[in-house]
Amino acid sequence: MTEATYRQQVDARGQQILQACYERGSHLSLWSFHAALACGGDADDLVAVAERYHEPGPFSIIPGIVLLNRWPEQIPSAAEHHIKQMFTHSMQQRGNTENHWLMFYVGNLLAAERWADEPIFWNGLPPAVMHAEASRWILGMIARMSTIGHYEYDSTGYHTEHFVPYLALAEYAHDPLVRAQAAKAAQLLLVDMALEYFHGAYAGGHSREGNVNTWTEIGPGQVLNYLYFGDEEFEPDRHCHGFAIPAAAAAFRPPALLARMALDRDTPHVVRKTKPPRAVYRHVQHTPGVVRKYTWMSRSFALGSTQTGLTEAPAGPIDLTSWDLTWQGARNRAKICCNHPYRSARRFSAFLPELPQRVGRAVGSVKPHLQVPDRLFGASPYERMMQHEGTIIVLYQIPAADETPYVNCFLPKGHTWCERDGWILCDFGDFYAGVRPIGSYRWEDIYEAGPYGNWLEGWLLRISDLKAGLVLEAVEKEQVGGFDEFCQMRGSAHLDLSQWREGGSVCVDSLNGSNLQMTYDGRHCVDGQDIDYDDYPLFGGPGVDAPLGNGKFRVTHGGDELTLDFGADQAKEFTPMRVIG
Amino acid sequence: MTTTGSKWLHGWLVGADGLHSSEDASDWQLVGGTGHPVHDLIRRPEDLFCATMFGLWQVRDSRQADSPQADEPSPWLQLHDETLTEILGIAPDEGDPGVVAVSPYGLAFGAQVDGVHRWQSRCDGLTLNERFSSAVLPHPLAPGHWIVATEDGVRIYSDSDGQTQGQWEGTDLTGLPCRALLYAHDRLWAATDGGGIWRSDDGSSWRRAGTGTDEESVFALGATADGILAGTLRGICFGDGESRWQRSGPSLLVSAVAAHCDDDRIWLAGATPGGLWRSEDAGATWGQTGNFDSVRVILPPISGHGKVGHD
Repeated sequence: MTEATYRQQVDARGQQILQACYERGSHLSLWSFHAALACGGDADDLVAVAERYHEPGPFSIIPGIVLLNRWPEQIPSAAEHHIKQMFTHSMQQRGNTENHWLMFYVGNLLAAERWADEPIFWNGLPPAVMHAEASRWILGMIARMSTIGHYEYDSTGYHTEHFVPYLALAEYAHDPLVRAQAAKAAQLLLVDMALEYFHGAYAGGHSREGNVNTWTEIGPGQVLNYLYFGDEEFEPDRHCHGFAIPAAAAAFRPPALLARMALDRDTPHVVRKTKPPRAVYRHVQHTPGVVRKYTWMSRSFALGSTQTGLTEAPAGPIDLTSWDLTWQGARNRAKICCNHPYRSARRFSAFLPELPQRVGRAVGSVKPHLQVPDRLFGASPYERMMQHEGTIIVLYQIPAADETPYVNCFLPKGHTWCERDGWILCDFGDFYAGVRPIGSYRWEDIYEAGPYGNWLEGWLLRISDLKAGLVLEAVEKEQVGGFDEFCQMRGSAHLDLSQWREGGSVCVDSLNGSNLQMTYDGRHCVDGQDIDYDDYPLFGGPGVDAPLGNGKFRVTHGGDELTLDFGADQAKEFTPMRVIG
Repeated sequence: MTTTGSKWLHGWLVGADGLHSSEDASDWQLVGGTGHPVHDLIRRPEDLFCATMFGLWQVRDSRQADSPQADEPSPWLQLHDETLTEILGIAPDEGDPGVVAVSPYGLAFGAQVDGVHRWQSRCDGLTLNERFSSAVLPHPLAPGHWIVATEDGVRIYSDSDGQTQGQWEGTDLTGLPCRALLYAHDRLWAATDGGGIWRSDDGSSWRRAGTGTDEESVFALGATADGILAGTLRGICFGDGESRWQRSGPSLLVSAVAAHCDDDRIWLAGATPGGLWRSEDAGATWGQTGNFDSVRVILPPISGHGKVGHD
């Protein structure tokens, strides 16, 4: 596929997205009005959209200014007036997460360039001052991302809210340095995405995913997947999310090799990534460790895990997904994961400034799913794991006084499970998987109604043991032959739990002949060799050369190459991290 | 509504969702800042420093502006930068910008650089609990020193030259979160989360103030003419710091307290949640006032302002 062909394909998919958005009538927002303007709609309809109340926060600040920049000749002056008011006469809020601040600062930088002659902005300062502040923060965050990793990393929900602002700067910023760095940042985020793209899903661990981590097709990122990687049948319900519509309307086109890399699943391979430590505010003795991700991208499944660096109570990020097995399938039918649904009065105040006595109820009232006993997401400080290719060991040592002294393991319905030698096994067609719970468990079901029907539905193994855990192995069908052979081989392969209760160690042989040995808060060994997590690059995978710390990336596929050099100044201190994620 | 060109600056001020003012602690008007949780306030003769979840603002009294702007909403001027946010407390400082600030990211000092304010954290080498700071006071006995309420107790920062990292020292009030500080009646007072109320003559040595709140979570402190008001997890306490604390009012998480400086029978208490409460009889009876959900800071009127007496 030539670059020209790829661009034509992206052009066509972009127009398809915009047309469907317009025809569905979902174009009447600041995010998605691009669809009307691209499809011959009445530009004057934007006046009513723009004059509606928009909370002057990040989710309104960025789409308005992007619209003005993308369609400079088409925007009615009355609509521009309303959008401009957000930047001159409202009391803006910048939020408290990385995606909030990125949308806030990118929106204000573009506005400061557009209305540079205004005497003062909404904050009482000249536009040039806002531009300087915004560019400092944006360039500082790009420097962080390109050297120590993306902070609010691999979020199925928020990756788009990172990508679109950088894309907007790459397209519309006047400042040449900001524009150039943002263009590289946008491509870097696509590399990040492509490395763990799996049949429309974002495989591996996620900094933020929330209560949809049993779904395969999640959030506005699906639009980016479809737009840039193709690979799927177009489904307007999934591929017209408003937050990604600015990307569909933009001129930006990544190099075709990223799509080829995303879709190349011929050879099973390991993807390794490094991400910065989570920003815990208080309640812990030590600063969290660096985040390391390991994802086994097999032909029929992807198994991903995370060394979260969050091993001290009460640090338990609300949205984090540390590991899962994912494959191609419908919502709630193609994921296996487990979680200790850690609850603590101080779990939220470890990351938020509100009073510990109040914050749990305040957050939980708005998001009750964060507190439910069946929760399948959200980090537990008592969770440890190691992985080698398609085999993972997940262990918990839960204090006796913990509010939830058990682990929830999700198994999808719609499949036929069997049990042998303590293993729960299933034939998924192209591959097989076996789960070996550690600790006494009971087979339950789990269901949560949602706005689209069965928000969450499946089997729930409640492992009621303070020293709970599991071992999981997934193998391709052609690796072992029939399912009966798999069950026999998995049941008879070496598994030693004898040292778990007293010594904290679990040892298992995988069916490909590797030996995994894990000690809770101790060594992680494969075939007797310690896993060197410090050796993880920023990105590691086939055709990817991206070491930590130097801001240089080289991606090759076939004969094509993409290089990104962010010009990292390793002597310069990073912009202080002042957001959560 | 938003106040314009009024006497708002000298009356009662409440930080909640935005900044609110009242002459009589009964009829409340929005000054501005809707959407911004206001955590702390410092009043000066012609303006106000307003510390919020999203930054630090100088709010001017529009009466002082040129007459054509006198009816405009009071302007909010940004004083923070990209390193200062989620501000929980501020204290007056000399020079420009005129305040120091504390946040989950610690104590920060501002300075003018190329015509704008830039901020620097002074928390190198601190643990996370030592860094997380909820309140700050200028040391009443030692210029250039700051008393800081941290998640790990009360600590003292000495600012050598205003530009570089100074020195931190611990106090003997350590190991439990401090949520509020007060200098009143020639003493320092500290409100701790789980350890009650403490007092100190020098900022370094602390001892328990009064009895009856030894394991109490206390979030706010205020002074009456001869006593101390405290906001606790179970309502308001008042006392003299020697005898047993007396409980008053409804049992709610009180996050702000203040007494009128000309009539200290008039008390206000702000809850999180629970709104704003007023007593006109020194805590004997209480009633809700205004339409608030959570109130984080209350400034009483300056002497000679604010309606005194009973309706």
